[in-house]
Amino acid sequence: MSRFILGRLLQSIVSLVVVSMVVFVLVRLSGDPIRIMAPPEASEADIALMRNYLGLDRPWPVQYWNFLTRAVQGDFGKSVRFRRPAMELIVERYGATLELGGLAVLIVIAVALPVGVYAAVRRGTVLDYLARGFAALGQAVPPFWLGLLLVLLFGVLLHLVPTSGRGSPLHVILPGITLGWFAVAGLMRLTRSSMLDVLGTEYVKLARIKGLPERQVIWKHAFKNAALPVVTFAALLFVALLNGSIIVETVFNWPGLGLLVIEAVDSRDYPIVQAVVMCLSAMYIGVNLLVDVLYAYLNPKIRYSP
Amino acid sequence: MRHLALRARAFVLSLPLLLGLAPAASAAPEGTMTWGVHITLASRWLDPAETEGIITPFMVLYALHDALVKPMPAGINTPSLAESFTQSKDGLTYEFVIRKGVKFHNGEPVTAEDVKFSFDRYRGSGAKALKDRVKELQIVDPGRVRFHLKEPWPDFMTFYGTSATGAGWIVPKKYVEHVGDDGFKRSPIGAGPYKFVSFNPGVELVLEAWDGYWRKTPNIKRLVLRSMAEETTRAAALKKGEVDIAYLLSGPVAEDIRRMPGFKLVAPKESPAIFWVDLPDQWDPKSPWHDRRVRLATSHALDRQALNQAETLGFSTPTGSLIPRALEFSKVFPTPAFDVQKAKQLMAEAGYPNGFDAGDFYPWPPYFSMGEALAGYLQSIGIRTKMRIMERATMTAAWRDRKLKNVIIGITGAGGNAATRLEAYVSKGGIYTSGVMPDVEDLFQRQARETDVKKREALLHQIQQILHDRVTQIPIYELAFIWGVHPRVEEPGVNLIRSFAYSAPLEDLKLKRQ
Repeated sequence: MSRFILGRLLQSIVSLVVVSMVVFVLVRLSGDPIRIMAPPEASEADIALMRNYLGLDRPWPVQYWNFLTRAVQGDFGKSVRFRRPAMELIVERYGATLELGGLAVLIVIAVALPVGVYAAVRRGTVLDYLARGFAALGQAVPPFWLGLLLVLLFGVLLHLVPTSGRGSPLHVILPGITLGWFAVAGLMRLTRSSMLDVLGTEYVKLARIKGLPERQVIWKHAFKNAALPVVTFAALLFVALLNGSIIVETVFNWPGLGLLVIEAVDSRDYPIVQAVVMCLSAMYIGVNLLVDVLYAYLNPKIRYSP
Repeated sequence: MRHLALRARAFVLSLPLLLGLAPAASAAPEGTMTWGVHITLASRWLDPAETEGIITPFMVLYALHDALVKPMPAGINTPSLAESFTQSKDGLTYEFVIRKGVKFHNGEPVTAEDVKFSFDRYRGSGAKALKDRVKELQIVDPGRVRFHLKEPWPDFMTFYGTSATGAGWIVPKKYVEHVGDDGFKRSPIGAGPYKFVSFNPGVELVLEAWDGYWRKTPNIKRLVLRSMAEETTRAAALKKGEVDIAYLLSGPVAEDIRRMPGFKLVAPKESPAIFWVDLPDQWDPKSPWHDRRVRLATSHALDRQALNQAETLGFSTPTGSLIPRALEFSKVFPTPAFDVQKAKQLMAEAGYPNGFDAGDFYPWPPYFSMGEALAGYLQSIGIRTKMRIMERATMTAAWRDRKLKNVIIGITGAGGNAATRLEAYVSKGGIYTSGVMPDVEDLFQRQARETDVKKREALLHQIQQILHDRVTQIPIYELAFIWGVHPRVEEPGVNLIRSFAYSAPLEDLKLKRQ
């Protein structure tokens, strides 16, 4: 088991290094940040001075090594726009994104699991089609458009919730729904297909022959066994939602990581872009690693597979 | 010491008399006014030392800080922390007398030391131009400073006393030295009407009325500037009453606000921002754009009024001038007629009856719908282009580095006057200049040395006439910066300061009594 974990850990580290290279190169290919930072009439000498001060005049491999060694210590440099450590800004914004992502996951689970189970149990009925239609709609409607519709309806017309920003618990409702709806479809379909597989197994038939109540058959015997891939998906979903919050945070002016990174891209604030991408990638890779380890623990066969 | 032959000038002012204001007792500030602003608030805007060559930082500077001289309702060079200023006859010396009793938010007096420190420390837009020309900033006594120039420079007050730069905005020397540059941005102290409360980078800035402000105690207790990048989000927040003023609304979103009872749309009557078609290929004799008739045809192919109606609900001002009316020394030319037949005739005379492929077309971000309309007008007379959409910072840098060719939609709203505007886009050393005309350059250099205002104006008008006659740029309109205003706002502060884009002076704003 420890050899398996070590192998996966090494793979994760390699993945992170590759991500760091990609983000480092892409940020620099997108343009010269000094041209944004320097005043329009700055002389070439001023620009050269700034470039030297920020270490941007050194060869890329040297810059990359400096970036990597500092990043390992949590130092991604100072934001060009805000003149504060990038990591400090990320920590400040992280809470907002976690709050939004957390609520979205709750909404996804609260809607997708019961509806998915119900659609499987009542396969082929009107309710099954309705549920699948609802899910398909969630994936088909662009989040920015859905967000604006919700704002107009519940914020402006009905005055039930605030239209934007963060503050009271009411503020998170609309962005949470907008972010969550898109993911409901995936989890619901996975739950439905997983449940359909389990419902056709011998032990479920036996439970029914034994005369167990249908509720008990579904939730205690079938759902419990169908839940494993669903739980895995939900864990990855949380990280995916954090990544996917960029558009929703922009529409709702939600002061999280998504909004921060959009602003950073606009102003070519490369320390922030690098830091956010690295943090989100580290989270994604970390959660994947945890899932791998959990699987190996639950299913020993996985440990010995190549 | 140089003898100052002080000449009485109209700008030697006694402010209370001029403004009709006395530090009379006023009601205690109350209420909160919130703005939905269209850009991300940056930390550097809390510090005048880093003011860029754009108007945006002044949205914050007018609240937190104060300048010796700045644009105010009374005029473009209104003494503020200075009670007066004078210019020597030879144009080599400017003397400022600091207003007695003015203080920073921490209670320390504003002194000549602070003025010198602020100037020396200034590194924003125009810093080089100022420091190259100022020989010495002399502290005459704690309440008086004197600028000695190397040679007469007619634009000194444009650079030092307007929103062209932030060099004249004063910070407290002792405090800045104590906390450092970064510490100052974290917790700035100024001499403006509002004190710093908190700044959540990229999210919101909160300010509170300062009852020690020399001009008057502000009417509103708390100001909140909230960054809201999305136009529809700003509009929704305005409708819901979450913000009182939403900056930069356009097209259908603005129309929607206009239809709401009690809400209103306003915009500064004069705008320093102007859109034009820039044609860098015209300097290449092989390019079709080299022919004046092609450029003139393009100008006649543009329906400026229809564009204005669609994009800014008619708030903008179509124009035939490259320099907007709001800038000193501008010369107004009538708007070219929208005449497609004439445009086609000119194209035929130039040898392009079927038009030509003009290459890339760069609309100004984020005005892409305007870009599409303009490309359509060009297409109507056979000028075929390919739209190239870029991110704003990238496009600015590429334009500056002369990497953009073919057709560019240019815009600038930078402060200054006609000379500073021409310097950037027409003169030999201009950062965006794509071609130089010797006669224009000669006139430009002459005006830069001319100290007689009338003669200088004549030279600058002559330059503008040449540009207009040769159709070197194709002006479109002076862009209106439209705000949406909530019914509970009594005085939003629009048009109090000529052509200023944002609410100001902030101490004059008012909310209706509930």
